[in-house]
Amino acid sequence: MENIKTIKSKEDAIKLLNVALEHEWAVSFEYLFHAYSFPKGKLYYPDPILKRHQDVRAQTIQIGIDEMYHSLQLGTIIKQMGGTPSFKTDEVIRYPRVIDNLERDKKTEDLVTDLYQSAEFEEGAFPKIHNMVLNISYDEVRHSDQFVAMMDAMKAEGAEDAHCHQSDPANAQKEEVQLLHAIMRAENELMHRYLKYVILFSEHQDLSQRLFKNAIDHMKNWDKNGGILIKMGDVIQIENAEKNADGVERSVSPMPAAYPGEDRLSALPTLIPAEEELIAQYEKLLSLVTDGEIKEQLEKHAGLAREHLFTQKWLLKNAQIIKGLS
Amino acid sequence: MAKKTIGTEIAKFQYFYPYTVALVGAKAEERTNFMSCAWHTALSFDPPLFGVLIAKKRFTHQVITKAKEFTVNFIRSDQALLSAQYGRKSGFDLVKTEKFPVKLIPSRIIQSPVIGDAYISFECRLIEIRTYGDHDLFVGEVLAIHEEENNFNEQGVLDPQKTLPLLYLGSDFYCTVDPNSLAHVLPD
Repeated sequence: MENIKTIKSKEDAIKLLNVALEHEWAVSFEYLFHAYSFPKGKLYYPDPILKRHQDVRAQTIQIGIDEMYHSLQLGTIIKQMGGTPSFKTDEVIRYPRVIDNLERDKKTEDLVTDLYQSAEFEEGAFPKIHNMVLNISYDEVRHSDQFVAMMDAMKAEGAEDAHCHQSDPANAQKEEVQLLHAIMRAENELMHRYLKYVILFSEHQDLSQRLFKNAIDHMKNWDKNGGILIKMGDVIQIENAEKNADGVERSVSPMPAAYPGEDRLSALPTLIPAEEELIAQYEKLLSLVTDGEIKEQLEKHAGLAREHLFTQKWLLKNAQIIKGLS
Repeated sequence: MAKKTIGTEIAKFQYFYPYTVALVGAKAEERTNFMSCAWHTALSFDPPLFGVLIAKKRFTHQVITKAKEFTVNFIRSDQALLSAQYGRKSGFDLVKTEKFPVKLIPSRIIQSPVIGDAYISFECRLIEIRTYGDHDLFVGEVLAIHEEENNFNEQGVLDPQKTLPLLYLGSDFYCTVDPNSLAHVLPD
């Protein structure tokens, strides 16, 4: 990660914000991958800030969501300043042991805290941005402390060797599991794509809020599907990952770095086929699973995607009839 | 200056050639398919985006749509026959990689293979499909580049003394470049 030390000009400020955005964008994604691989309701730790016992998995998800909000804040400001938000990604690594993932996440927090806190703003230059950067940095300090507390508790309880969920090799032949993996990828991509548009259209609160709702819906589905995969004896897959002999998975290209569309009339049309494809995937999966809790949950997800499709079609139609709207 | 004619009835729109030829394809549901493609273009340096234009009726259109990824494999002037075979025969009728064998190499990042005999290959993740008239533009994010050694100089410029790219002229005509025409031209 590039360190931007001195902030004098608008260009310096945008550069700092973009380095930060790329970082937040990438880590929120990696934290969620880690969290969805952790055992649920098995590992607890005394949270130093919340002053209560927390589930490691649940709190890691919460930290991932915090980073996503940071991305939104940073992207929105970059846009307001006339810059172009960058959605570059970074490598994602998943270790077999939970604690090794927490260690990586803790180091990541310290790295970004340093980026934020070491940036020197020339006196009087961009005071609101300086304030925002410092405010975010103390979220990162809190996250780092929380990760340390998680690791300390695991060591104290002799749980250092607690492992992430693993994929059952037999699942490679199961159509429903493979389909759910494809749906997970689509949910993730749509969540991030909507978030990009939330940033791009942030000057229009109405549109960005509508799209934000859809992003959150897709994130919730991603989250629930992560749990369903575990019930099916599998675990969230990291796209394009290679696994070494020690079982460490690494992907340099875990998600797209570009999404189509830069304005309403070019972005909105791309969401309709994407939602349609997702609905078709859910419908196919629903035809393969038996009645029960999983089917009920998947039906809810398909229903939300249908709601998005309805909304997107009208957002596009309404945008197309107004002259001069771009 | 030679006299120019101006026509407004555009019959066979192919006056823009020559273009380099690439075999473009993917693997989806255990089926690997490539087609010759001269309609392709770089779209962005950062992120690196590359576009290929494919008619909806093509089998490759279906395969890439399903795979959500593709590879772009540029071939040499001595591979014109391969281009003709992969361009004029359809994956709907035959398995081209069996009928006209090429060396398939596993990609570094994606699941679809690259062609070993190409002098340069791109691995792309599909970002968008956008329709323009009778063709769809498949936009790919370039994730990895397979480069045959010594074909490009340190600036990434193809050395025509070492590799002659296959150029398509339209209507099944091909040619290549004159390596002796290479010039590094600066404005000042």
